[in-house]
Amino acid sequence: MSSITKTIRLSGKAEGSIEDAVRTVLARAASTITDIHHFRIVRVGGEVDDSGVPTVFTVTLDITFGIKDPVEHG
Amino acid sequence: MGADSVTMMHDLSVPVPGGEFNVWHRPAAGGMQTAVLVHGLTGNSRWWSRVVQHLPEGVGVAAIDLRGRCCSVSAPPPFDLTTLADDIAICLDRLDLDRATVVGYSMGAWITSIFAARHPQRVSRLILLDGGLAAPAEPGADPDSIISAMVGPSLARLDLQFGDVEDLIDYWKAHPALKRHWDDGMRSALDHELRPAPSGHTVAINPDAIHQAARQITVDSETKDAAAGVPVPTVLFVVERGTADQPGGMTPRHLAETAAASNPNLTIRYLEALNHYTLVLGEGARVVADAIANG
Repeated sequence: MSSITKTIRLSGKAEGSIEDAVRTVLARAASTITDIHHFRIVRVGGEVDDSGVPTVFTVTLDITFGIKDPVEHG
Repeated sequence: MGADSVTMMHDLSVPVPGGEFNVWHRPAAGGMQTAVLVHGLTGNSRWWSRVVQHLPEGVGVAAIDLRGRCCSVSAPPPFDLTTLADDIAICLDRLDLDRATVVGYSMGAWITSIFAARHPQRVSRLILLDGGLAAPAEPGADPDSIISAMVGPSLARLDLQFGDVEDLIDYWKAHPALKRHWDDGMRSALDHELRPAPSGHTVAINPDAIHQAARQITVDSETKDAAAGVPVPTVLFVVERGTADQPGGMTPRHLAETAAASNPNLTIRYLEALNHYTLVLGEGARVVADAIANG
């Protein structure tokens, strides 16, 4: 595990559940970012239909990842 | 030459039926020609920042924001590549130019090849940057899946919202094609695409435009090999590495060689040690600018 880390804030959504939304954001992040250490949920929200049923869950995450070479990330 | 070259640029609206699209522009001076620059699938006009920095100041620049992207995100449909190609002609009309050096990068290589086929008299020279020829697709293959494999991880950012522009830049710094090559000169190419959204900032892209282009580039037999039939003098730059810095660029080398062997208009130039992104965002920008300025 790298000793130098960076944290970025990303949001995303999914229809099934908050957990699905978290997994979606992490999967998208992981397609570019390697060495993700952990995440923190900053905010949870969603959209609701006329019957009061949630249709979309949105999450905002702080995602922390390691940087192998600090020069790369300035 | 340098950063001042970029400060001379300004945004210009180009009317089309039902709306407008944006062009990042500076006029030519000293008898030099204008270069029309057409970006890739999820890019925008500012992806040319470093190329512009390396161009002689007299070279005019018209870097289009294609419909559905960035400053043209609200431009009306259709988003098919023929319409986007004809937008180049509309852009030239708007700038009172009969012809120009036309440069297409990635998806822009397909668009500019189509433009050259439809409006050959308006092209002085065509420069294609790692695009315009697609590998054969499996029958029934899903265009979105093919394009995802071609374009790689940069597509994932379209499904995310970013806290602010620094989060976007850090995302790009981690990109497998850029992280070993990053320098802060790339910022100005990549920090222009965010717009405010409910949970942060989102990349200004119309997904309909992406899906339309993906289908045409990958499985549309009339479009996918557009560069093979170019009717004007054309140089196609082929890079050594791909969208995730893996060996092999977006343009399969054997397809480029086959196309050039049967089309005397088409010349291939191979660039070692560059990948699909550093070709315009990094060290390749100097080579591209030299090709525009000096042929």
